[in-house]
Amino acid sequence: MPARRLLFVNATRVTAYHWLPSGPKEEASFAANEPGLSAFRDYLRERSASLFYLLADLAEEGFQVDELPHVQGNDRRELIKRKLAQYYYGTPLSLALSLGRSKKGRRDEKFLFAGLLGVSQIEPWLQAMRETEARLAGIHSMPFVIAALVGKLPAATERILVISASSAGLRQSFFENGQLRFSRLTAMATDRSDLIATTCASEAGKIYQYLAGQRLISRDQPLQVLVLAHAGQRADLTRNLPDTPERQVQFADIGELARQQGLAEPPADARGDRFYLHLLMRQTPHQQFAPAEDRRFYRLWQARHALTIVSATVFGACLLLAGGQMLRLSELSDRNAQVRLDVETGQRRYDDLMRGLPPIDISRDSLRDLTDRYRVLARRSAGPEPLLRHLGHALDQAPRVELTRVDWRLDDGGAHDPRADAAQSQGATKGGSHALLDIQARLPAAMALDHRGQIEAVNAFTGLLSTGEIQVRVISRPFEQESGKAIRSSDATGEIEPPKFNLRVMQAL
Amino acid sequence: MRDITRLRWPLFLLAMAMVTGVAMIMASRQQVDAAEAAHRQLVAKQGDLRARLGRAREEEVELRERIALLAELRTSGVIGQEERLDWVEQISRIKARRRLLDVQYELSPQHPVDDALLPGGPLAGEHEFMSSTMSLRMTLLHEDDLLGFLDELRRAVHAHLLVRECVIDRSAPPPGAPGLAGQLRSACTIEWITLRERKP
Repeated sequence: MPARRLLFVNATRVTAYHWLPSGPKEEASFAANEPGLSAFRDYLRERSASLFYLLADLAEEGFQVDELPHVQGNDRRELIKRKLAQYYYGTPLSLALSLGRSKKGRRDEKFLFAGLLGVSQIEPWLQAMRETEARLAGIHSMPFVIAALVGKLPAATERILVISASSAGLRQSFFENGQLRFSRLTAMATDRSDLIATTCASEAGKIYQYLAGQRLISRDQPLQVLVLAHAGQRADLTRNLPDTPERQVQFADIGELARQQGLAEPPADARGDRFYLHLLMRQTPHQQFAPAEDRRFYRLWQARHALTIVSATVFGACLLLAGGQMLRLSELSDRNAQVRLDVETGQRRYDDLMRGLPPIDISRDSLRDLTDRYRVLARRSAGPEPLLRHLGHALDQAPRVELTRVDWRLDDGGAHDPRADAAQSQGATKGGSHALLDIQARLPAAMALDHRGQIEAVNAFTGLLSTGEIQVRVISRPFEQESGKAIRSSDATGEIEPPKFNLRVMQAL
Repeated sequence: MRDITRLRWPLFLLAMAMVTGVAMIMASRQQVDAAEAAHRQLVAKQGDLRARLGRAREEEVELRERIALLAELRTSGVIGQEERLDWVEQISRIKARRRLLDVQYELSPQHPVDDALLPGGPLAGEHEFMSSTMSLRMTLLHEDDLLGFLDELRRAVHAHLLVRECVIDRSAPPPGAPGLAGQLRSACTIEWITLRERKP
């Protein structure tokens, strides 16, 4: 945060303070003449990084209370702008303070329009600030600083006149319901308590007449007057400023108030310049008089500051996210190291176990692949012998059966061989390798007319061939007894053919 | 607009902060992703290794059997070049010893085994299954002549024999003769299978 500096402007000079949490510390004072302005420019250039708050305590001020229709947005801005131009034509240093909406009628919004009319007294200083590109945060006036204090005063009533003193003079500010309505400054060249008290009495009387004339107070009620004074002046003030039917006077110790506001060195007399500057920094009013153009370099600083904060926030957030990821990475790396160690240990144990195996010149995967495939091949390589031997045993027990042809072949499950498809349609199981044995056989010619005997002989032979692993299917019989088949009589020539039949034997490999 | 140039450094700082920050996040995310992928791989490997260790004893036995089979294939000449001259000589020798009537054969050029013979094709790791198809025709007195011939041939030659098909039928069936006794003809298709190393 850059240093903050306060510029107290009165009709004759500017006094510069460096603000610290303990209170403002005076740094320089500049007379309102060319050497003073030149020194002021140098002062500003040397402190170009500081933020400046200007507090004007000038007699030329204007206060107007008026009501405007309650509108929002641009209409409101334009309305206020027009009203300010109307009241304070010729000065860019003006503001409008909303006092709330009326409770009657169309509920217009009440405003206090204030303006610093002594532009010529401030303009040279502002021009110097523009030239040096000083960061002017705002221009404030003394009544609005005192307004921030009024709400905190125990003596504050519905209508109260607050009399305060500064190096510029004696200021009388009238507040209604805690809101500033009117203020004026009376130049005062002395700090003698009795003269201050006399001036207070005189000015209070004038203000009373003015307020009564404006019907801001009732004539049958005394005006409440609060004097912000130094404790050492109280006796003189009490003596010279007694209660009258027109006024009731109370005193507030400016030293005690300053201590309450955290000012380390309370004012030594009633002139509370440092106290009011401290108050300005502690409770900076939202409204200020400087136009946007004069605050340009302050706005630029705000934008730079905001961009820097956003940059830092973005970078910090990214750093946090990346940091979180890196923590996760660290955790993962630790876990990976543990798992890797476990894998290496396991691999060593496994290698130790396998070290006793005979050496081979091919990889284990190749070995597995080769032997697996060879075993598949070997399983299919038994040849025709098992089924032919089985057939031979069956023939030994069926002497009437005579073979004419046997056709043994491998069947790979039907994927490639068209004949295998036909074999499946006749009973082979798809998806596995089989050995197929097609048998063509016949029975003795003497059984040609014994159809029942033929059926029994074929069934008996089929039964002999069938086992749990070997399936037998009758492809054709010597005598077809199914209803779907045709039956013919014997040959008219008298020649008798031996009864023939076909079988298919299948064995899964 | 005139003040934008006065804000160029803070804007540049903001841009740099965003670029650097996003780059940091992306870089760290990539590293975490890589570490997570490595972790998944390691855990899978760890699980696999634990399973292998759990059955290491069985695997050792299995590998011993496989190595023994490999050695047997090498000893028997199944792995290696075809020895066609030896095959022909062995056929002649067996024919003479068994006094077979007639043995005719034709051996085709060597070729990789087909899917029908060996599902999955001829490749097996660093080796390739090759085959030479033989058409064998014989005249037999008894079916045992064929079976004995095949059995003796299988044991005598340096190749793995796989009979694909055999047809046996009578050439002149004598009336009333039992079984296949008498003049029989056989026609067989036999694959002479060897394994050769694949060239890298």
